[in-house]
Amino acid sequence: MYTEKTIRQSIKGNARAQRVIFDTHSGSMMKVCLRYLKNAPDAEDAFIKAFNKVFEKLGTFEFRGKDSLAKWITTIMINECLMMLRQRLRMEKIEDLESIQLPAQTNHSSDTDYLYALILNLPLGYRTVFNLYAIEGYSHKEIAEKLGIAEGTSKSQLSKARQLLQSQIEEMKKYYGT
Amino acid sequence: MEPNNFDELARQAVQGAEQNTSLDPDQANTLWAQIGAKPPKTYVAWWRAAAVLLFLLSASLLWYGQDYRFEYRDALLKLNASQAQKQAVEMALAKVEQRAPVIEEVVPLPVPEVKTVVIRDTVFQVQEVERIVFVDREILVTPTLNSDSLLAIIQMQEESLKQFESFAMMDDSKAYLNSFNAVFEDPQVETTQRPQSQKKQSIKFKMSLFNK
Repeated sequence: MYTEKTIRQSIKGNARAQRVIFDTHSGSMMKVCLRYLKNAPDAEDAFIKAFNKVFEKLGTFEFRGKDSLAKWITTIMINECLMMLRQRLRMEKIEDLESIQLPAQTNHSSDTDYLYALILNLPLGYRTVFNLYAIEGYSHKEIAEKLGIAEGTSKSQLSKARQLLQSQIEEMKKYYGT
Repeated sequence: MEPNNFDELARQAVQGAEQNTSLDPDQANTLWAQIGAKPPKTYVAWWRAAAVLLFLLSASLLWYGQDYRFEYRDALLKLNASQAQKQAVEMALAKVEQRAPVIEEVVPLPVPEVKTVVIRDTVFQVQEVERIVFVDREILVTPTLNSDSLLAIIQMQEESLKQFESFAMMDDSKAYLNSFNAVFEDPQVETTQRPQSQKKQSIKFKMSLFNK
Protein backbone atom coordinates (compact mmCIF):
# COMPACT_ATOMS: atom_id res chain seq x y z
CA MET A 1 0.00 0.00 0.00
CA TYR A 2 1.13 3.57 -0.38
CA THR A 3 0.67 6.98 1.19
CA GLU A 4 0.04 10.48 -0.05
CA LYS A 5 3.81 10.94 0.06
CA THR A 6 4.18 8.16 -2.51
CA ILE A 7 1.81 10.02 -4.80
CA ARG A 8 3.78 13.25 -4.39
CA GLN A 9 7.02 11.42 -5.18
CA SER A 10 5.41 9.88 -8.23
CA ILE A 11 4.41 13.31 -9.45
CA LYS A 12 8.06 14.36 -9.14
CA GLY A 13 9.02 11.45 -11.37
CA ASN A 14 10.30 9.01 -8.76
CA ALA A 15 10.26 5.68 -10.61
CA ARG A 16 10.06 3.58 -7.45
CA ALA A 17 7.05 5.46 -6.18
CA GLN A 18 5.35 5.12 -9.55
CA ARG A 19 6.01 1.39 -9.54
CA VAL A 20 4.40 1.09 -6.10
CA ILE A 21 1.27 2.76 -7.43
CA PHE A 22 1.34 0.55 -10.50
CA ASP A 23 1.72 -2.64 -8.48
CA THR A 24 -1.09 -1.63 -6.13
CA HIS A 25 -3.64 -1.00 -8.87
CA SER A 26 -2.52 -2.99 -11.90
CA GLY A 27 -4.35 -6.21 -10.96
CA SER A 28 -7.75 -4.63 -10.50
CA MET A 29 -7.30 -2.24 -13.43
CA MET A 30 -6.50 -5.08 -15.79
CA LYS A 31 -9.71 -6.77 -14.64
CA VAL A 32 -11.61 -3.57 -15.40
CA CYS A 33 -10.15 -3.49 -18.90
CA LEU A 34 -11.02 -7.14 -19.46
CA ARG A 35 -14.54 -6.55 -18.22
CA TYR A 36 -15.03 -3.89 -20.86
CA LEU A 37 -12.98 -5.26 -23.70
CA LYS A 38 -12.99 -9.00 -22.96
CA ASN A 39 -10.22 -9.50 -25.51
CA ALA A 40 -6.86 -9.81 -23.66
CA PRO A 41 -4.62 -8.05 -26.23
CA ASP A 42 -7.07 -5.15 -26.47
CA ALA A 43 -7.30 -5.00 -22.69
CA GLU A 44 -3.49 -4.82 -22.40
CA ASP A 45 -3.38 -2.13 -25.03
CA ALA A 46 -5.93 0.02 -23.24
CA PHE A 47 -4.24 -0.72 -19.91
CA ILE A 48 -0.86 0.52 -21.09
CA LYS A 49 -2.28 3.66 -22.70
CA ALA A 50 -4.34 4.41 -19.62
CA PHE A 51 -1.44 4.00 -17.19
CA ASN A 52 0.70 6.27 -19.34
CA LYS A 53 -2.02 8.88 -18.98
CA VAL A 54 -2.21 8.24 -15.25
CA PHE A 55 1.44 9.20 -14.74
CA GLU A 56 1.28 12.08 -17.18
CA LYS A 57 -1.71 13.59 -15.43
CA LEU A 58 -0.94 12.59 -11.86
CA GLY A 59 -0.02 16.18 -11.11
CA THR A 60 -3.66 17.16 -11.62
CA PHE A 61 -4.95 14.58 -9.13
CA GLU A 62 -6.30 15.82 -5.80
CA PHE A 63 -5.90 13.40 -2.94
CA ARG A 64 -9.21 13.00 -1.16
CA GLY A 65 -8.77 9.95 0.98
CA LYS A 66 -7.83 6.32 0.76
CA ASP A 67 -9.72 5.17 -2.35
CA SER A 68 -9.65 8.44 -4.28
CA LEU A 69 -6.69 7.47 -6.44
CA ALA A 70 -8.19 4.08 -7.27
CA LYS A 71 -11.39 5.77 -8.47
CA TRP A 72 -9.42 8.30 -10.47
CA ILE A 73 -7.36 5.62 -12.16
CA THR A 74 -10.50 3.56 -12.82
CA THR A 75 -12.09 6.50 -14.61
CA ILE A 76 -9.04 6.84 -16.85
CA MET A 77 -9.08 3.10 -17.56
CA ILE A 78 -12.75 3.11 -18.48
CA ASN A 79 -12.39 6.12 -20.73
CA GLU A 80 -9.53 4.44 -22.53
CA CYS A 81 -11.56 1.25 -22.95
CA LEU A 82 -14.50 3.22 -24.28
CA MET A 83 -12.30 5.03 -26.78
CA MET A 84 -11.23 1.65 -28.05
CA LEU A 85 -14.78 0.37 -28.11
CA ARG A 86 -16.33 3.42 -29.71
CA GLN A 87 -15.12 2.55 -33.12
CA ARG A 88 -16.41 -0.97 -33.11
CA LEU A 89 -19.28 -0.76 -30.65
CA ARG A 90 -22.51 -2.02 -32.08
CA MET A 91 -25.71 -2.00 -30.14
CA GLU A 92 -26.54 -5.58 -30.96
CA LYS A 93 -30.11 -6.56 -31.07
CA ILE A 94 -30.26 -10.02 -29.70
CA GLU A 95 -33.26 -11.75 -31.14
CA ASP A 96 -32.54 -15.09 -29.73
CA LEU A 97 -31.36 -15.05 -26.12
CA GLU A 98 -30.84 -18.76 -26.11
CA SER A 99 -28.07 -18.47 -28.64
CA ILE A 100 -25.75 -17.10 -25.95
CA GLN A 101 -23.82 -19.88 -24.30
CA LEU A 102 -23.82 -19.94 -20.53
CA PRO A 103 -20.43 -20.18 -18.81
CA ALA A 104 -19.96 -23.41 -16.91
CA GLN A 105 -21.00 -23.20 -13.27
CA THR A 106 -18.35 -25.62 -12.12
CA ASN A 107 -15.56 -23.19 -12.89
CA HIS A 108 -16.74 -20.73 -10.25
CA SER A 109 -16.64 -21.06 -6.52
CA SER A 110 -19.67 -18.94 -5.64
CA ASP A 111 -22.79 -17.37 -7.07
CA THR A 112 -21.14 -13.95 -7.17
CA ASP A 113 -18.21 -15.40 -9.05
CA TYR A 114 -20.67 -16.90 -11.51
CA LEU A 115 -22.51 -13.62 -11.84
CA TYR A 116 -19.17 -11.95 -12.56
CA ALA A 117 -18.51 -14.52 -15.27
CA LEU A 118 -21.97 -13.89 -16.72
CA ILE A 119 -21.29 -10.15 -16.84
CA LEU A 120 -18.06 -10.78 -18.71
CA ASN A 121 -19.96 -13.04 -21.07
CA LEU A 122 -22.58 -10.45 -22.03
CA PRO A 123 -22.66 -9.26 -25.63
CA LEU A 124 -20.59 -6.16 -26.22
CA GLY A 125 -23.31 -3.55 -26.23
CA TYR A 126 -25.16 -4.98 -23.23
CA ARG A 127 -21.94 -5.41 -21.32
CA THR A 128 -20.72 -1.86 -21.94
CA VAL A 129 -23.93 -0.19 -20.87
CA PHE A 130 -24.39 -2.54 -17.91
CA ASN A 131 -20.83 -1.84 -16.73
CA LEU A 132 -21.26 1.89 -17.01
CA TYR A 133 -24.69 2.06 -15.40
CA ALA A 134 -24.87 -0.72 -12.86
CA ILE A 135 -21.21 -0.98 -11.87
CA GLU A 136 -19.74 2.48 -12.37
CA GLY A 137 -22.90 4.48 -11.65
CA TYR A 138 -23.15 6.66 -14.74
CA SER A 139 -26.53 8.02 -15.78
CA HIS A 140 -28.11 7.16 -19.13
CA LYS A 141 -27.45 10.70 -20.28
CA GLU A 142 -23.76 10.36 -19.44
CA ILE A 143 -23.60 6.94 -21.07
CA ALA A 144 -25.26 8.28 -24.20
CA GLU A 145 -22.66 11.05 -24.41
CA LYS A 146 -19.77 8.68 -23.81
CA LEU A 147 -20.89 6.12 -26.36
CA GLY A 148 -22.46 8.43 -28.90
CA ILE A 149 -25.83 6.75 -28.66
CA ALA A 150 -29.31 7.88 -27.76
CA GLU A 151 -30.43 7.77 -24.15
CA GLY A 152 -33.24 5.46 -25.19
CA THR A 153 -30.73 3.02 -26.63
CA SER A 154 -28.77 3.06 -23.38
CA LYS A 155 -31.94 2.29 -21.41
CA SER A 156 -32.90 -0.44 -23.80
CA GLN A 157 -29.48 -2.08 -23.69
CA LEU A 158 -29.43 -1.98 -19.91
CA SER A 159 -32.86 -3.53 -19.68
CA LYS A 160 -31.87 -6.33 -22.01
CA ALA A 161 -28.61 -6.89 -20.13
CA ARG A 162 -30.47 -7.31 -16.84
CA GLN A 163 -33.03 -9.53 -18.48
CA LEU A 164 -30.36 -11.72 -19.97
CA LEU A 165 -28.37 -11.99 -16.76
CA GLN A 166 -31.39 -12.83 -14.69
CA SER A 167 -32.61 -15.43 -17.15
CA GLN A 168 -29.17 -17.01 -17.18
CA ILE A 169 -29.11 -17.13 -13.40
CA GLU A 170 -32.56 -18.75 -13.40
CA GLU A 171 -31.37 -21.22 -16.01
CA MET A 172 -28.40 -22.09 -13.88
CA LYS A 173 -30.53 -22.59 -10.82
CA LYS A 174 -32.90 -24.88 -12.71
CA TYR A 175 -30.03 -26.84 -14.18
CA TYR A 176 -28.11 -27.32 -10.96
CA GLY A 177 -31.16 -27.46 -8.73
CA THR A 178 -29.90 -24.65 -6.47
CA MET B 1 -35.57 -9.28 -8.53
CA GLU B 2 -35.82 -5.50 -8.36
CA PRO B 3 -33.40 -3.78 -10.75
CA ASN B 4 -31.69 -1.81 -7.96
CA ASN B 5 -31.17 -4.96 -5.91
CA PHE B 6 -29.83 -6.81 -8.92
CA ASP B 7 -27.45 -3.98 -9.78
CA GLU B 8 -26.20 -3.98 -6.18
CA LEU B 9 -25.64 -7.72 -6.39
CA ALA B 10 -23.72 -7.22 -9.63
CA ARG B 11 -21.60 -4.49 -8.04
CA GLN B 12 -20.72 -6.76 -5.18
CA ALA B 13 -19.82 -9.53 -7.60
CA VAL B 14 -17.54 -7.19 -9.55
CA GLN B 15 -15.97 -5.74 -6.42
CA GLY B 16 -15.26 -9.18 -5.02
CA ALA B 17 -13.71 -10.36 -8.26
CA GLU B 18 -11.61 -7.29 -9.06
CA GLN B 19 -10.47 -5.66 -5.84
CA ASN B 20 -7.22 -6.70 -4.16
CA THR B 21 -6.02 -8.65 -7.14
CA SER B 22 -2.54 -8.48 -8.58
CA LEU B 23 -0.99 -9.32 -11.89
CA ASP B 24 1.27 -12.23 -12.47
CA PRO B 25 4.83 -10.89 -11.80
CA ASP B 26 6.03 -11.60 -15.34
CA GLN B 27 3.03 -9.87 -16.84
CA ALA B 28 3.45 -6.96 -14.44
CA ASN B 29 7.10 -6.52 -15.40
CA THR B 30 6.31 -6.76 -19.11
CA LEU B 31 3.56 -4.17 -18.87
CA TRP B 32 5.61 -1.88 -16.65
CA ALA B 33 8.44 -1.95 -19.16
CA GLN B 34 6.04 -0.57 -21.72
CA ILE B 35 4.85 2.12 -19.39
CA GLY B 36 8.04 3.04 -17.56
CA ALA B 37 8.67 5.92 -15.24
CA LYS B 38 7.24 9.18 -16.31
CA PRO B 39 9.16 12.25 -15.23
CA PRO B 40 6.84 15.19 -14.85
CA LYS B 41 6.99 17.83 -17.53
CA THR B 42 8.32 20.39 -15.08
CA TYR B 43 11.04 17.94 -14.04
CA VAL B 44 12.05 17.49 -17.66
CA ALA B 45 11.88 21.24 -18.18
CA TRP B 46 14.29 21.78 -15.30
CA TRP B 47 16.74 19.30 -16.77
CA ARG B 48 16.51 21.01 -20.14
CA ALA B 49 17.05 24.39 -18.55
CA ALA B 50 20.04 23.01 -16.65
CA ALA B 51 21.47 21.57 -19.85
CA VAL B 52 21.09 24.91 -21.62
CA LEU B 53 22.70 26.75 -18.72
CA LEU B 54 25.54 24.26 -18.64
CA PHE B 55 26.07 24.74 -22.35
CA LEU B 56 26.09 28.51 -21.97
CA LEU B 57 28.48 28.27 -19.03
CA SER B 58 30.83 26.00 -20.99
CA ALA B 59 30.66 28.30 -23.97
CA SER B 60 31.34 31.34 -21.80
CA LEU B 61 34.23 29.58 -20.06
CA LEU B 62 35.67 28.64 -23.40
CA TRP B 63 35.30 32.21 -24.59
CA TYR B 64 36.63 33.46 -21.27
CA GLY B 65 39.53 31.11 -21.57
CA GLN B 66 40.26 32.47 -24.98
CA ASP B 67 41.30 35.79 -23.46
CA TYR B 68 44.57 34.54 -22.15
CA ARG B 69 45.57 33.33 -25.58
CA PHE B 70 45.61 36.87 -26.84
CA GLU B 71 47.64 37.87 -23.82
CA TYR B 72 50.31 35.37 -24.63
CA ARG B 73 50.34 36.28 -28.27
CA ASP B 74 51.11 39.81 -27.21
CA ALA B 75 53.80 38.53 -24.90
CA LEU B 76 55.34 36.53 -27.69
CA LEU B 77 55.43 39.53 -29.93
CA LYS B 78 57.37 41.38 -27.31
CA LEU B 79 59.73 38.50 -26.95
CA ASN B 80 60.47 38.60 -30.66
CA ALA B 81 59.32 35.09 -31.19
CA SER B 82 59.49 33.78 -34.71
CA GLN B 83 56.42 32.76 -36.68
CA ALA B 84 57.20 29.10 -36.17
CA GLN B 85 57.57 29.61 -32.46
CA LYS B 86 54.32 31.55 -32.27
CA GLN B 87 52.60 28.74 -34.07
CA ALA B 88 54.11 26.28 -31.65
CA VAL B 89 52.80 28.31 -28.74
CA GLU B 90 49.35 28.38 -30.32
CA MET B 91 49.38 24.63 -30.59
CA ALA B 92 50.55 24.29 -27.02
CA LEU B 93 47.82 26.64 -25.85
CA ALA B 94 45.26 24.61 -27.73
CA LYS B 95 46.40 21.50 -25.91
CA VAL B 96 46.25 23.27 -22.59
CA GLU B 97 42.73 24.29 -23.35
CA GLN B 98 41.85 20.69 -23.90
CA ARG B 99 42.67 20.18 -20.25
CA ALA B 100 44.81 17.17 -20.76
CA PRO B 101 45.97 15.86 -17.39
CA VAL B 102 49.64 16.58 -17.90
CA ILE B 103 51.00 18.68 -20.64
CA GLU B 104 54.55 19.56 -20.92
CA GLU B 105 55.11 21.46 -24.03
CA VAL B 106 58.33 23.22 -24.52
CA VAL B 107 58.54 26.08 -26.88
CA PRO B 108 62.04 27.15 -27.44
CA LEU B 109 62.53 30.83 -27.87
CA PRO B 110 65.51 32.83 -28.82
CA VAL B 111 67.41 34.53 -26.09
CA PRO B 112 65.70 37.87 -26.10
CA GLU B 113 66.87 41.31 -25.38
CA VAL B 114 63.48 42.25 -24.00
CA LYS B 115 63.58 42.64 -20.29
CA THR B 116 59.94 43.20 -19.52
CA VAL B 117 56.66 41.75 -20.57
CA VAL B 118 53.51 43.58 -19.81
CA ILE B 119 50.41 41.51 -19.40
CA ARG B 120 47.22 43.17 -18.32
CA ASP B 121 49.02 46.20 -16.96
CA THR B 122 51.22 44.03 -14.81
CA VAL B 123 54.88 44.40 -15.50
CA PHE B 124 56.50 41.08 -15.64
CA GLN B 125 60.26 41.22 -15.41
CA VAL B 126 62.29 38.52 -16.95
CA GLN B 127 65.82 38.16 -17.88
CA GLU B 128 66.69 36.34 -20.99
CA VAL B 129 63.66 34.22 -21.47
CA GLU B 130 64.65 30.96 -22.95
CA ARG B 131 61.59 28.78 -22.85
CA ILE B 132 57.90 28.79 -22.25
CA VAL B 133 56.82 25.60 -20.65
CA PHE B 134 53.24 24.61 -20.49
CA VAL B 135 52.67 22.27 -17.63
CA ASP B 136 49.10 21.20 -17.31
CA ARG B 137 47.40 24.56 -17.21
CA GLU B 138 50.26 26.50 -15.79
CA ILE B 139 52.52 28.38 -18.04
CA LEU B 140 56.08 28.82 -17.01
CA VAL B 141 58.18 31.47 -18.45
CA THR B 142 61.65 30.38 -17.60
CA PRO B 143 64.64 32.53 -17.88
CA THR B 144 67.91 31.46 -19.28
CA LEU B 145 69.43 28.94 -17.05
CA ASN B 146 72.79 30.52 -17.00
CA SER B 147 71.66 33.85 -15.87
CA ASP B 148 70.43 35.10 -12.57
CA SER B 149 67.04 33.70 -12.69
CA LEU B 150 63.68 35.02 -11.84
CA LEU B 151 61.35 32.17 -12.04
CA ALA B 152 58.03 33.54 -12.98
CA ILE B 153 54.80 31.80 -13.02
CA ILE B 154 51.92 32.95 -15.00
CA GLN B 155 48.89 31.31 -13.64
CA MET B 156 45.75 31.08 -15.53
CA GLN B 157 42.85 31.57 -13.30
CA GLU B 158 39.32 30.81 -14.05
CA GLU B 159 37.12 32.67 -11.71
CA SER B 160 34.89 29.75 -11.13
CA LEU B 161 37.50 27.02 -11.02
CA LYS B 162 40.68 27.69 -9.13
CA GLN B 163 42.59 24.62 -10.03
CA PHE B 164 46.10 25.77 -9.47
CA GLU B 165 47.80 27.00 -6.43
CA SER B 166 51.35 28.09 -6.19
CA PHE B 167 53.90 26.38 -8.27
CA ALA B 168 56.68 24.67 -6.47
CA MET B 169 60.13 25.48 -7.50
CA MET B 170 61.85 22.79 -9.35
CA ASP B 171 65.07 22.34 -7.47
CA ASP B 172 65.89 19.08 -9.00
CA SER B 173 67.89 20.03 -12.01
CA LYS B 174 67.51 16.67 -13.59
CA ALA B 175 63.74 16.75 -13.41
CA TYR B 176 63.86 20.28 -14.60
CA LEU B 177 65.80 19.29 -17.63
CA ASN B 178 63.75 16.19 -18.27
CA SER B 179 60.67 18.28 -18.55
CA PHE B 180 62.19 20.01 -21.49
CA ASN B 181 61.38 17.36 -23.97
CA ALA B 182 61.75 18.66 -27.44
CA VAL B 183 58.18 18.34 -28.61
CA PHE B 184 58.72 20.85 -31.29
CA GLU B 185 61.88 20.14 -33.07
CA ASP B 186 64.13 23.09 -33.28
CA PRO B 187 67.79 22.78 -34.05
CA GLN B 188 68.46 25.84 -31.97
CA VAL B 189 67.24 24.21 -28.79
CA GLU B 190 70.01 23.58 -26.41
CA THR B 191 69.59 22.27 -22.97
CA THR B 192 72.09 23.43 -20.53
CA GLN B 193 72.95 22.21 -17.13
CA ARG B 194 71.75 24.35 -14.39
CA PRO B 195 74.65 25.40 -12.22
CA GLN B 196 74.28 24.33 -8.66
CA SER B 197 75.07 27.76 -7.47
CA GLN B 198 72.13 29.17 -9.31
CA LYS B 199 69.54 27.26 -7.37
CA LYS B 200 69.54 29.45 -4.40
CA GLN B 201 69.28 32.49 -6.49
CA SER B 202 66.04 31.42 -8.06
CA ILE B 203 63.08 33.33 -6.89
CA LYS B 204 59.58 32.10 -7.06
CA PHE B 205 57.22 34.62 -8.43
CA LYS B 206 53.55 34.01 -8.74
CA MET B 207 51.46 36.30 -10.73
CA SER B 208 47.81 36.20 -11.54
CA LEU B 209 46.97 37.00 -15.08
CA PHE B 210 44.03 39.05 -14.02
CA ASN B 211 45.48 41.09 -11.21
CA LYS B 212 44.45 44.69 -11.38
